Amino acid sequence: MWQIFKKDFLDAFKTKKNIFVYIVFTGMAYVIAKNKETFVVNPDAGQFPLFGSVDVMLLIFGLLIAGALFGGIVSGEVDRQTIRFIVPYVSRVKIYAAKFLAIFVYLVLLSVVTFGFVLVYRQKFDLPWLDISMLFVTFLYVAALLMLISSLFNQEKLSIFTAAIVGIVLPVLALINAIQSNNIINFILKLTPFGYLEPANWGSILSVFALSVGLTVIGGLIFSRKEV
Amino acid sequence: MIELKHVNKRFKNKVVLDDINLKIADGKITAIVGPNGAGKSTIIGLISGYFRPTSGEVAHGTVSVMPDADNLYAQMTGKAFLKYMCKIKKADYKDALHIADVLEISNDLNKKMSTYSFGMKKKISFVQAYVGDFDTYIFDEPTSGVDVPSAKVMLGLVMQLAKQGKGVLLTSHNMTELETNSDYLYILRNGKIDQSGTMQDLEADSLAQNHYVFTTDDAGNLVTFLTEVPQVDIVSKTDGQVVIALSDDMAIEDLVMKILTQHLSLTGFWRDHQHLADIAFADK
Repeated sequence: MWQIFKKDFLDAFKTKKNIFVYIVFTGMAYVIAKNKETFVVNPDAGQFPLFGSVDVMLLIFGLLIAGALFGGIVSGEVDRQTIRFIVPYVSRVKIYAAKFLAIFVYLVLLSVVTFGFVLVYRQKFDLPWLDISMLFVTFLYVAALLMLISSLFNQEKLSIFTAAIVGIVLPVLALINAIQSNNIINFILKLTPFGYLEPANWGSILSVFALSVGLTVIGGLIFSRKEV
Repeated sequence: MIELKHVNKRFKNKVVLDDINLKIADGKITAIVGPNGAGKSTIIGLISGYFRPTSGEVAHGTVSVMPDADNLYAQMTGKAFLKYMCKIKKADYKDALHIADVLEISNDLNKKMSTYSFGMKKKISFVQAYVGDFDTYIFDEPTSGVDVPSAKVMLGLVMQLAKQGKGVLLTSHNMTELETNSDYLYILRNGKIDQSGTMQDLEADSLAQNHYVFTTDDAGNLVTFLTEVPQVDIVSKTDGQVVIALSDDMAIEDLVMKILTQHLSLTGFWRDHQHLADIAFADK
């Protein structure tokens, strides 16, 4: 299981997409870190919350990034039939867990680098644990959703496309709902972390965690029965 | 040992395997033979965990598999791939390097597998299947596309596994290879096991049809005569040779006597030896 995790995790770093992601996020983190008056720890009206801004950046783009890098994490191997090399030796549960972890750890690492950059630049090390917990549990959700999408399809391009669409649509729906509340959109967002961001509390963190568990179970069942 | 009991497999509405019962015994090389689409790869897929049977039972211990060589991790080097597989299979990487050396692909291990020829892909797929300690080893057409010396080495290695008490399942389109190396064979046709047994068993079954070869200077008249004999079926004919199947209720001596009585040309005759290709791909 560890070998599968290591391979998928490191493969993501070998892509041009990954270099682009890190350049963009480090750049954005630099802008946020540098603009002390605009992005502050305890914001007044007209100021943006420091950690909240980094959070939002990662939340909005998290699924899109993960989809681009990991959308074919299962479907790609099924499509190319390389998964046939590992299925005889590793249980479906372990394969699923390894790939899930690869996505999650990648996102966590990206957030650590991004946050870390801001904190080191600002020499400010008070960590907003509630926001960070919400962010990490959102990453669990992203990993679970991606694994589900990738397990549903046998074609890599289709699963990457679907993940990208979902990665664009969800933040857009959240934005629309923020401007003008809509019951249908509200219902859809309640199935995603975007429905629990305000206010961020332990209850909303648990809700997103529960959603992640649900998606993982569904995705895991689909993968375990999948003919490869 | 691997055992399939009353295994059926359907893909959507198509029946691919129909009541398959087979065993892959420890210490033996078992071959599955059959035309394209007979269901050989499906049987391998069921044992390897790629598919699940629609009904029936597949019982097996640990299995090492050589899947289709075309589907390798293209962006990995051969070395990285073997390291990866050895770690997954808890096999010794040095064993993999040794086998790669024996198959003469050591010098290519630092190259990406996307640059490999078909034969090289076959070899590296064989190497990863061979290493590690498993109850049964499955090789799906291991020597197709491989140079003759390496094919001999591969088969020698496969035989070593059987001598070590491991079960081996082999598929191949090279009938001579299977005929020479297999301890037990299953002939698969349209998803069903048509015949099974050792090569001697299969030959005996088909020799029960009593095939004979007649050589002659006048095949035309000989064929005309033989067509009139109810116990004779003409299997094949050329200018100088006629192959027949003789039913059990007529002795060959009686038929030869009839031919000679008719003063037909008969320069020689012998019992035809059935090859696996003849048995497996006979028209039915």
